[in-house]
Amino acid sequence: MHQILMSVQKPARYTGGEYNQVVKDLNNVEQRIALCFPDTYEIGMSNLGMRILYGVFNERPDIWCERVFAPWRDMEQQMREHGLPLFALESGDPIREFDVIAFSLGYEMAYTTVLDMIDLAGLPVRVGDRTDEMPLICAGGTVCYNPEPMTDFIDLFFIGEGEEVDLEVFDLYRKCRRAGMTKAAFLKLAAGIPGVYVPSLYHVSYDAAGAISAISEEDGAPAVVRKRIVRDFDRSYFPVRTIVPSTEIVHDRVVLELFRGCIRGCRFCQAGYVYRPVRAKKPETLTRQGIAALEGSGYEEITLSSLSTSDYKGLFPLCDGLLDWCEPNHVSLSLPSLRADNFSVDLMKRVQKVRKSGLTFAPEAGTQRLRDVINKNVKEEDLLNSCRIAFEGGWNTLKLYFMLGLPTETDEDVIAIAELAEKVLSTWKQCAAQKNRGLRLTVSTSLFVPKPHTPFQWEGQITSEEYLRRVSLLKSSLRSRAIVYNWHEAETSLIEAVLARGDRRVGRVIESAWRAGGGLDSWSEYFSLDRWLSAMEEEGLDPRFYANREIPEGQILPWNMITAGVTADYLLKERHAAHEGVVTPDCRKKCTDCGIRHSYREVRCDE
Amino acid sequence: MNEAVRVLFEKTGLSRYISHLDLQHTLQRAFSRAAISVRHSNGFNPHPLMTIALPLPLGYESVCEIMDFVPENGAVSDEFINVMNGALPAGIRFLEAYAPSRKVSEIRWIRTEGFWRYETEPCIEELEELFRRTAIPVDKKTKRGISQIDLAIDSQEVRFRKCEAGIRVTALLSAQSPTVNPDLILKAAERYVPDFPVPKSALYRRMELFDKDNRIFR
Ligand code: SF4
Repeated sequence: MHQILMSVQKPARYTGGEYNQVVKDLNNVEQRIALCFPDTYEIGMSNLGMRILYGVFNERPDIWCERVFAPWRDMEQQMREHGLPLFALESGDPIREFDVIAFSLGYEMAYTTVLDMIDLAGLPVRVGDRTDEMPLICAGGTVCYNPEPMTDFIDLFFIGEGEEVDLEVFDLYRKCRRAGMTKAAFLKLAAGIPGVYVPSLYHVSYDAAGAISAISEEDGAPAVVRKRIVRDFDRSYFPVRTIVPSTEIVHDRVVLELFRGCIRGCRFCQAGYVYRPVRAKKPETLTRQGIAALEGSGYEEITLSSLSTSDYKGLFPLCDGLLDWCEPNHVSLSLPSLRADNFSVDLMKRVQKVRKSGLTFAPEAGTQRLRDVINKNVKEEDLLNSCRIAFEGGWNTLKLYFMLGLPTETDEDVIAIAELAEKVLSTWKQCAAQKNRGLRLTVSTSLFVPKPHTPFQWEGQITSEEYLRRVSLLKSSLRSRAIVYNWHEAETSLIEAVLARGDRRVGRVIESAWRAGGGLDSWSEYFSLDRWLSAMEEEGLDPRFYANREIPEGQILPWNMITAGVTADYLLKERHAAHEGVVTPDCRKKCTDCGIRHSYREVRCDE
Repeated sequence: MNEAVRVLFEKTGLSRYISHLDLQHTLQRAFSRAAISVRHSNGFNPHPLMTIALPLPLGYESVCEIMDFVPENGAVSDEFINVMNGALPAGIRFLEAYAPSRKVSEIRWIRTEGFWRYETEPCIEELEELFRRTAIPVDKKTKRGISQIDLAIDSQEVRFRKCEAGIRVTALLSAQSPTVNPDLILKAAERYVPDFPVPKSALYRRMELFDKDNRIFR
């Protein structure tokens, strides 16, 4: 092992042994869980969800949950060469000996890495090729709201928030194993637990055009699986004693989750729909947990994280409470993802007294018309006003994020992005406090990807060629040389759209792409469009069918057996409102009855 | 750093894979967890006043690492070692804390143990022969290029012992100006012993620090 570790980059990510890792005596443990994140240690350890689940599972004395990350290519090669199977960090034991392997799936591009990890564990990737003696393989996370592309490989999916449903499944599995039941018999029972989707109990048929003609479920399986949510978020588990990596990771700090969900209802945003309703923690709870986590970890930075942090009602008391502790203790407080309103910039000023990191605003679209279509309720004057306050306050680095290819977008909307950027630039010229340092203004665009369970789930993605045309239109419209323009490659967004809206048949494509050398596809150095396109061709599937096609409203969607609690009617109504350019008020102004209230009667939205 | 506290600590087991830079962060965070404030430098970018002597190469173990730091309130309590050991990751353990009486620059030699793993029975006579020479020049790669080191001058008491599955090496190696890492012994062997077999793996551990008069340094 020493020899292997000395031949790879950053060996500390493969050793475990960090402060606060959980090690248990196997004699007292009845069930071993491998909590897998299909990306590198640095990414996976930065994920709050992983840390929460690790803590929740390990609170149970009879369960030992250990962490598993995808090895970087150099390590993978060494492991394969030396016949070293994928192991868990805490014990170093091969995960194929565990009872359960649970994947946390946050993005589609990680799918091939899941296959890679199952294979590296020494297990067959397909559900049907695994025996009853092999571990149960399950998955949860945001992308599981359309689990279909991964159904060939995963025995069981958790729909919704893992801290609710996962342990119920693990307990049932243990009971069934003890009773000598087969995996199939267990899965049948598990399908009765709310929030559990067992794909093998569902059958999908297609019409001649390739669209889904019917989805049917076996006896005992629900026709629709509804997500599980944490009801009392204020009292939900927070990892105060969290693992402190001994090597640098991406987000190397304490992360405080202020609330789940989002009041805004941007129509392209999957998180905004699937995490409803908004459930917040009290500022006192957060202050207490934040300080305890800082004391327990020794981190020198804490960050507030939520979908739209400035919507948190108790933000000022929370910041004050944290700053009182942070300043004398040499700890800095940071705020990501702010909305372009005055309030946010005030807050930035308050928090970042000395260090002026860059500001980021995401208007998403260049014209008010298109911002109304997507329900991004940011007005141009708000944006410019925020910029003015920021520039007066001495900020000189600003990033603006936009999407190209949003439904109904015209060339006028594209050109308006450039105009908006120019207006920001002239605002800077008018009121910058420190002009001598110059403004670093970056405009970034990405290609819109239609996501399941949003009002835009039916929309087609524009083709890569069309995206590039709009990119060059925008590029030629940006006259000032002070503005830097970055655009994301269309290639990954196309495959992301295929995987996001894929049905069961796409599983074969994922497998082919993986067999052809895929894995770590979320890393541009390992992503290959050609590999994906030839995999699609091999399996006789057309990327345009999945990515670019507008799905007729009446058609059965591949993810029809899953609901996030928002009704299909509401999504449809929102889609129509989008096309009419009508905005929907946020949940705080007015409840527009998306269905959540009826699905989760015990939970009050945004209390 | 006249109010500094010196800590003797070990870095063994899994912690050997923590790089020098990461070790600094790791120790800083361990101090915070133990609620021991380290004085920060003044200036635009305040940083904790803390230095680890003689960076240990990645993958090496040590039972004689030295770190100096300035505690905020000038001294540490009797409980310091215990408290810190409760706050450190696996493999790092504080052994002693004391007021330093000597400068780190006085460290001249490091006693190092090595283990070269072999699957076949190795031969050590030629190695012993090699280290009896009066000049053993080897190339050492540094950031600035390649420099020449004479192991006959900058190493002492180089001994080899056959053991199960390999060779044990012990040596006193120059700690600084120049820094001699034990893999240079291996380099010398590869260069001067004909057909010297490359070991399957090489493990090293720092054992003790000495000054120029071969007295233990603390
Ligand atoms: S039920 Fe009303 S308040 Fe609750 S999430 Fe839906 S729209 Fe918002």
